[in-house]
Amino acid sequence: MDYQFLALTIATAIGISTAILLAATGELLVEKVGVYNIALEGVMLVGALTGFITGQTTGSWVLGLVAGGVAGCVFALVFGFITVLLRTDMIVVGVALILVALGTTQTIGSSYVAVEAVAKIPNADIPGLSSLPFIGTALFQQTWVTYIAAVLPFLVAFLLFRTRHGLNMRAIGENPNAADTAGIAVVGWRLFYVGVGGVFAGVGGAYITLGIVDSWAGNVTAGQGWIAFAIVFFAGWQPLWILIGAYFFGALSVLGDVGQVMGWGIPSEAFTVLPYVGTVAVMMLRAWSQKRRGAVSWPAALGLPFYRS
Amino acid sequence: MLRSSVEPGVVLPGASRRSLWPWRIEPRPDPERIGLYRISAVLLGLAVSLAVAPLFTSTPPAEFYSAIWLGTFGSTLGMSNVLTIAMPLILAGLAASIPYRLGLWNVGIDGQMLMGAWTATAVAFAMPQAPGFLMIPCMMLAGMIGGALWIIIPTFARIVLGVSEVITTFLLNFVAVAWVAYWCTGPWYPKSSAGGVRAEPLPAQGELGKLDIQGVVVSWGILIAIALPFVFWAAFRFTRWGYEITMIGDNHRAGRYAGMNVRRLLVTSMLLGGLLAGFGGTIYMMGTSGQLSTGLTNNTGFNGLVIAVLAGSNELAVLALALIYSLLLAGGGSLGIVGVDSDLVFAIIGITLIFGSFGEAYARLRLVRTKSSRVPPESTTKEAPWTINSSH
Repeated sequence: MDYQFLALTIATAIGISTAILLAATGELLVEKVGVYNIALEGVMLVGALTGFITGQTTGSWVLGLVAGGVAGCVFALVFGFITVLLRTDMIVVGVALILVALGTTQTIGSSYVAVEAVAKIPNADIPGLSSLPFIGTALFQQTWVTYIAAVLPFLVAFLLFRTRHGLNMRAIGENPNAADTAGIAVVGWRLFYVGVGGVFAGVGGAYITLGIVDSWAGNVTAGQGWIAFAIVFFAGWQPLWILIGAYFFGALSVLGDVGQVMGWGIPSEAFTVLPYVGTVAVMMLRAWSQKRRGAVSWPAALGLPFYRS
Repeated sequence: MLRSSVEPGVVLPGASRRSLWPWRIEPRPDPERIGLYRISAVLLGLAVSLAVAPLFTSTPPAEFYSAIWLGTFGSTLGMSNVLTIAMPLILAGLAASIPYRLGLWNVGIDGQMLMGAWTATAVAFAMPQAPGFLMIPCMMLAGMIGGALWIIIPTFARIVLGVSEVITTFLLNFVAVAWVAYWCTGPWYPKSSAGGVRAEPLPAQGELGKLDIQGVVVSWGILIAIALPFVFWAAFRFTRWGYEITMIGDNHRAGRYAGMNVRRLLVTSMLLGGLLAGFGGTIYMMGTSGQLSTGLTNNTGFNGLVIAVLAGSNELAVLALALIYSLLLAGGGSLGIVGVDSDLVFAIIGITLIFGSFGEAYARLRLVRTKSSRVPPESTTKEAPWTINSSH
């Protein structure tokens, strides 16, 4: 494998990880306040279709991404309204909303199938850095969205662990009753961050149709929302591990294709499976080591409805 | 775990005590007839979503509904389809329902079905000359074992390490799909490939025979599928095991005081879930296409999970809901004839479920005015007894 090929492989892996990275970063914020949005796959689908249609009508990929974000936010807020406000079960509502998203996007988007996107997201070479040998090709010839997505986990880490706002968020996720006593509007914060997570996932979905596959097809996300959901667990709710996890998942999916081209003789399914097996293994290892120390890594109130006591 | 705790008395930014909205949602002190509200809301949602669905298509409503009718009650082919779809769905519903009685989520039914079908296929290919009366029971047994094995790791992770079974069971679905895809495209690649990821067909004597009830043709696996909910319904009422599960489902601690081995019951209910799922995948494969494929389950597991939650720990309700669900899926499938994307039925099911959630929320919660309340609101410090234990 020559260097140019390797650099391009890395560039592809980073590029296709963008949507997953965005969605997972958003989901981390949601889970930190104690909600898990299982409908992530559905949110991404809605964002993907809305972004694509907006891109086709306006011819602008920026507007497409914005529209994807707005649609994702609205769809996630439906989830938030039903689960956070009405305290219903997150798994059932999540599965229901995924089905709704799958059905409606397929029906509405049927006239957009196999149409090429007019507003593709262009690559933005970073002056100077992009002409570096190897590293330039591998890292600095991406789209703006990819650069921003790569920076976001750092911003999220700062928000969560270095600001008062982030402390409140963690308090809501760990002990909503204590947070409530301290005067934090638990339900309001949870709804707000479900919406924020929706924006991230919606933009991620729009990035799939406008930046990765450049077209719309039914179920175009093909499980990326689920992968993003898994990455949050894989990362142990640590923002920087989300970055590593997303690129790791992206690299493995590219490696499967590369392996077939290069004739390594390893079935591509082996690479497909690794992230999932890896996530389960990492979760079990982490739980095992934490069991001995008596601490857990997930927000203690994750998935539990909040009732003021 | 907080690195620094929130000090009492500190007014935090973003905190607003005085809400603009003078209402508060709180649990009803004595929620009644939750199941009734839920089912009524589901039926209402079904009616509403079916009424609205044609608006999303360019098909005239009359054609839309007649296609659904023909795909279900309106023709013998339709009824055959409904029963064929119901067969794995009932088993998937049970596979989710039994762990759910103890507050455990089996989100990996699709994977367990595939692994059950894979194991059964492996057994059939290992004994290709065996007669049907030997091969069929062996395959069914293998399917059960395969499904149960696929849930062992999540069960261990949940019971011993405390890792949420929601995510582990779910992720193993992807592994099962990849595993089956590998075998279908590699070692069991069919000699005459005809599209899709499918393995070499099973030996003919390994397929289930068909029943023909006045033109409605369905494999006899449906008889087992319909009988099993009654078996479990009876088991939960008349056996010690069933009594213990029911009791612990209501209250883990009480069961432990009564000397029950909670851990053993958690393990058996999880393994039983996997076993039923594996069996469902196996008989569906043996009763329909007769060959292993990655598309075998087609999200049956998720649908089963939804059925189990709606049915609320009642196996006969699982049976009834699975049949209703099959009517919807079969009716939706026939929409393709009139040029409607058959995935529209997913939206109908999803909206129906959301209505069900609303119904349940209405039964459990009430809106209370917070301002000018002379009578202080009732204390609800006790943890709500219906809080589903989805802790990790």
